[in-house]
Amino acid sequence: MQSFSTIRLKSGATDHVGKSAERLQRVIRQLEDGLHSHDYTRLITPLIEEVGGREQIRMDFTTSVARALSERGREQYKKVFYSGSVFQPEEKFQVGFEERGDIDEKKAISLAVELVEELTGKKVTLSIGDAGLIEQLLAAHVKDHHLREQVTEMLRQRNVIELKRVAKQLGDPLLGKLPILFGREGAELILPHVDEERLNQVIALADDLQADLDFGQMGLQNYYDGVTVHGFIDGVPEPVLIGGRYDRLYEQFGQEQRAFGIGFSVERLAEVL
Amino acid sequence: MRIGITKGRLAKSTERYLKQAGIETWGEIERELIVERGGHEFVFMKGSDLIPYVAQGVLDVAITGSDILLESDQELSELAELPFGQCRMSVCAKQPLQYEGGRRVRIATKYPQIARRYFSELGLDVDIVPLNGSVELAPILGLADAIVDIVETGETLRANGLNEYEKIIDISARFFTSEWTLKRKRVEVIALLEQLTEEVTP
Repeated sequence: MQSFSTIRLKSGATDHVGKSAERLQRVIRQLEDGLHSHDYTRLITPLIEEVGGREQIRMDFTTSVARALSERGREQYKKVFYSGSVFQPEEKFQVGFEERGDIDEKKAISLAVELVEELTGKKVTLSIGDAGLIEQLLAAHVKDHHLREQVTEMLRQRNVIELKRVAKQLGDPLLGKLPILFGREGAELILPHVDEERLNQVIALADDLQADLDFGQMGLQNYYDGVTVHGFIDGVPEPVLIGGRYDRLYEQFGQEQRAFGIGFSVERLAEVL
Repeated sequence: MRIGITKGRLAKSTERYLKQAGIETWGEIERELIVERGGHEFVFMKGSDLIPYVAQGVLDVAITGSDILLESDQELSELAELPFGQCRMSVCAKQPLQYEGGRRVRIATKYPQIARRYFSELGLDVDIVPLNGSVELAPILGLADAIVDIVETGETLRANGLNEYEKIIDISARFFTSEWTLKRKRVEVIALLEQLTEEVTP
């Protein structure tokens, strides 16, 4: 018989057994049931896909969902949910939902909050940003395309030091402040540089949801091009729900439509049960 | 605020700088690891240990060398570059390195991530030998052809017959936090950032 004794747990990975496994399962089941009861359809995509002709293990659900839903004959699926592992590079379990077409962002975010609060019994604190608004601002302030990409990445990492360096180089102090622009004060500072109507919509959304405004919040992935949302609960130093608007991802699959999604961090939610 | 301070030499320059910024500091301490002064709690530990403490929100902010942050793969928010702890990360060896020879060059270092990134950006395929201390011994005893390490004055290198050949990056002290703390305690973090960057007149 072939020897299996050299099988080892990959560094950074964890087995779950007994109570810990039960907690994870409870999070997964409750989120899935909640999404199912709100008319979301289950979507299962393969763990391995081809990217540029090379096989790649799933790093993110949203891109796989966009790929799957953009295939011909799937137009009727407007609201889906998924459940499974992503590798970033360590394995994380995610449940999430995606919507396209006629989207009510407030309703979708409220549902995510409701599901987490029901599950954990803890209040969710929301933080709202808008990657599209900041892109507008950067397009006007950083003309060089390559530098603009670098600046966006610095902002994603909230690297005040590097942004201040670029701000000095371009003689544009606003760039150095972007990672720490919050609330109404932040909105006033970016107002002269962005579409006022869109800014007001974001402010209204944050007000309606009693969320903090954080203009440095670009979202973890670079496909976000509109509202971004992070949700926190006490005792967990990372967002337990994270998502946003990403219309341009569908453009890459030849689709013109609005798209919005939120993913839940299953392991982090299980920690507080 | 709970502020992480890197133990050792950097703690002294950090204290001097904080005082100049008008922040009450810890003064004379012996073996204490946590000291409360002027409304802040200062916690002392090794630079690399500050990373998980800040990432998990146990420490609100911390000050350490940029080498520690570069070596870590944790995404943290670097808020300010502080004017102390200056040195450089360099490739040092007994003689100039021949990358094109028959054998792969072996590099000993306490900073395997930084070294790997540097050589890969140059398109050079090298072997990295991770070590925990006294890396200067590696080329002397033949474990490696060169080292990637911090160079301040270069005296230790010269005393051991090594030369600095390639500078990888300048290093200095950094004030940093996590995105979570920035959201949760933004008023306090930004106030401290302003105090550290705008009011210091050495």
